[in-house]
Amino acid sequence: MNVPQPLIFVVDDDASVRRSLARLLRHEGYAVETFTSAEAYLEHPAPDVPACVVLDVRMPGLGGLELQQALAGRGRVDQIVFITGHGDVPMCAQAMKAGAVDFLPKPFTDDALLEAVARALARAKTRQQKHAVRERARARLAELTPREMEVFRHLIAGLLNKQIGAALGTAEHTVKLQRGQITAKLGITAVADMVRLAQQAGVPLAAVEKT
Amino acid sequence: MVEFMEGFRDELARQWPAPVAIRMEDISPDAPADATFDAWLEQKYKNRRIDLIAALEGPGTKLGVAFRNKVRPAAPMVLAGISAGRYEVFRSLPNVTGVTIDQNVRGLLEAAARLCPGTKHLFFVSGGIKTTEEERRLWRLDAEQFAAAEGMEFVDLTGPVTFAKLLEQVRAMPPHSLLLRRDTIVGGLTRASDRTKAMQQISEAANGPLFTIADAYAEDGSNGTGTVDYRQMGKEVGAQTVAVFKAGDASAVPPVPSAAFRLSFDWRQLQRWGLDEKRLPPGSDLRFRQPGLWEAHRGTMIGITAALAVQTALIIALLLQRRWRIRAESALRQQREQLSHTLRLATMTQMASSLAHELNQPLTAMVTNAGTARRMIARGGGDPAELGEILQDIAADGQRAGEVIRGIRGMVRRGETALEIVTVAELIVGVRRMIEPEARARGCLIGEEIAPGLPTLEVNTVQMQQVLLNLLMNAFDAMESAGSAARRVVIRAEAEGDATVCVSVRDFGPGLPPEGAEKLFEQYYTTKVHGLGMGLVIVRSIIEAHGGSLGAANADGGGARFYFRLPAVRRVAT
Repeated sequence: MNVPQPLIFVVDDDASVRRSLARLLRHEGYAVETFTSAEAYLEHPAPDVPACVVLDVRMPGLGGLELQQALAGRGRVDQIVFITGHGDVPMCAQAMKAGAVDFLPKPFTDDALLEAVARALARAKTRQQKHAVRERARARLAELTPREMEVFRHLIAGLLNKQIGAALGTAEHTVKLQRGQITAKLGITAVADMVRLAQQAGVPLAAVEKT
Repeated sequence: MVEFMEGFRDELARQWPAPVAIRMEDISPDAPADATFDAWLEQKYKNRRIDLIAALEGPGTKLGVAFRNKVRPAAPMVLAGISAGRYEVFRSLPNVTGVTIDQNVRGLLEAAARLCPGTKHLFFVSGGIKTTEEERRLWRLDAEQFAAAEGMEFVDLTGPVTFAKLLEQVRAMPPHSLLLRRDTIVGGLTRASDRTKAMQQISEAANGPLFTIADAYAEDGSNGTGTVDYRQMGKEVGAQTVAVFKAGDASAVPPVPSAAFRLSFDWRQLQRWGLDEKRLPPGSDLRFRQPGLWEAHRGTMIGITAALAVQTALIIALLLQRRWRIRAESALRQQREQLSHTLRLATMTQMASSLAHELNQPLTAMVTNAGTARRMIARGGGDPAELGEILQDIAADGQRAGEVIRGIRGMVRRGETALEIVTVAELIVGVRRMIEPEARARGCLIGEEIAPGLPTLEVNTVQMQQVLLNLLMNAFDAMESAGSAARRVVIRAEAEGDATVCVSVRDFGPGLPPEGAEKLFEQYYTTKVHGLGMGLVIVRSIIEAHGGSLGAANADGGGARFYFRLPAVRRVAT
């Protein structure tokens, strides 16, 4: 199986720093792409493979923290390792709260950087996996009609067919028929599995009121 | 004798209309009477006209009388400087008059007696090889008579004794003794200084105060010295001579007493013997009084001191003025440098964080590169080519760090006031290098519009850099809240005619406040949350110190434009 090579993006306006980081990371076996500004990185599409960004905080134009916000606004989940010439505590706290992997003051040791990068990549990998799973689950659930989706929700809430019928204002028989459809489409019979699928898809579990 | 002659001549010139030729024959007291000398004198004046013979004091009188007898018996004679008693001896001679002075011994003794009340013994010593027995006898007579009148024992120590013996004798004087000395003693001493020294020894040894009759004042340890003011005497003799000329016969002119006798007292000796200076006769001199220089010459002293004081005051005033001016100038300069330094520091503080960041970049790269190289080597020897590259990068970054530090040092150094010739371009390049980190940190772009062929400036480079830095920082501050697109600063430089260069810093911020630019220049007025607000005041003072002017206006298209004009200088073509 072809293991996708982890990709690391380096974003720093200083040429020496860029060069030295790229050299180190490449030597460690990573694929590296460098950017001179946050804007340039923003224009680059999100990678398919697990990736992380080594991002300088202070840059002319869009700064590192602003980039973090911009990415979040676009729904991207880039794993960021911040590096900075400033040891600014409020800045660091803000970055971490917003989901950064780490915040390294310059000059950092190569060990510290590589460790943070490894963590970031692991997180990225996990996320990507989770994302893949979610997407798959969602894709599966998308097969259901809206009516079937409603039944599904009530099923994962733990309701019996009769109760679902009462809740939805349909006959129990209809519910039974719909349940059959769900099972066929999703390939799942047990409610427990449905629950898990719902969780994977990110569907809230307590969707209905019990009567 | 010089003084006598001066007095004599002056008086003659004053009183007698026709010029008078004066021949003087000075007989040294030390020279013994000499038959050869007499014959020579005779020969010299045998055929000369002599209208008058003036003889001075004892020896002179003796010689004069003998001379007249031999050479010109008909010439009138004035006998001067002898006592009245002595004069009586010659009174019977024809055609003679005199200027007598007989307070010598008497006057001094009277003063001495007053100073030393209760004196019981008067010791007398006189003589020396020059005094004749006759002289000695006469002086002694005066002293003897005085002692008798005062009820004092009179002791004559004069005689052929050795100096040592004399010292013994004066040492052995009983209490309440006085020692009177006439002229020099101690035979054999021909030099005056030797005689003075000898007298000092006597004075020190004597068991009582010493008083002296002398021809001239000498510091010989005497409490009081009677001397003759020979100038005065010369005058008196001159006057008497004129009287004789007028009268035709000296006998028709009565002898006159001289007023030339002077008493001088030595304060130090008086102190030594505890003698009261208040008992001194009026009109006498008191010498060597310790604080007394002041008292004695108080009038003169005050005058001199006042004059000096005025002069000194003047001088001091001038010096102070000059020093004040220099100090004021240097204080002004110092103040400006202080402000400049403060500005630098303020700017520094603002830039410190970005400069630290600036320093961190090369450091980070160096550390990272070193780490990479380590790893390469640890994994079993790295590629030399790659390692070489890494080391090169490390070295380059080290240099870069050094330059940043140099830049910081340059900013903090104080005290440059020298002017140098620079081009506008050079100035701006230097400033840009310094402000680059801050500009990047703030996300501001700096553009340049420098006209070609600008005349050069003669300025203090550091101060002008301060000006530009300050204007740029203000521009950055003004654009703090503007979007990235608006964060632009343009430095513009153009010539206005041959003699002026105009440099401006333009931003795209909100522009000048409605109150106008002038408020901005008011010291400490600031619209910034941080920052000193002092900047523009210093900027203006620097520009004006360079002979330029500073102004501000709103720019077309938004933002403010701060501009300054400076006089230009043409570089001398080499």
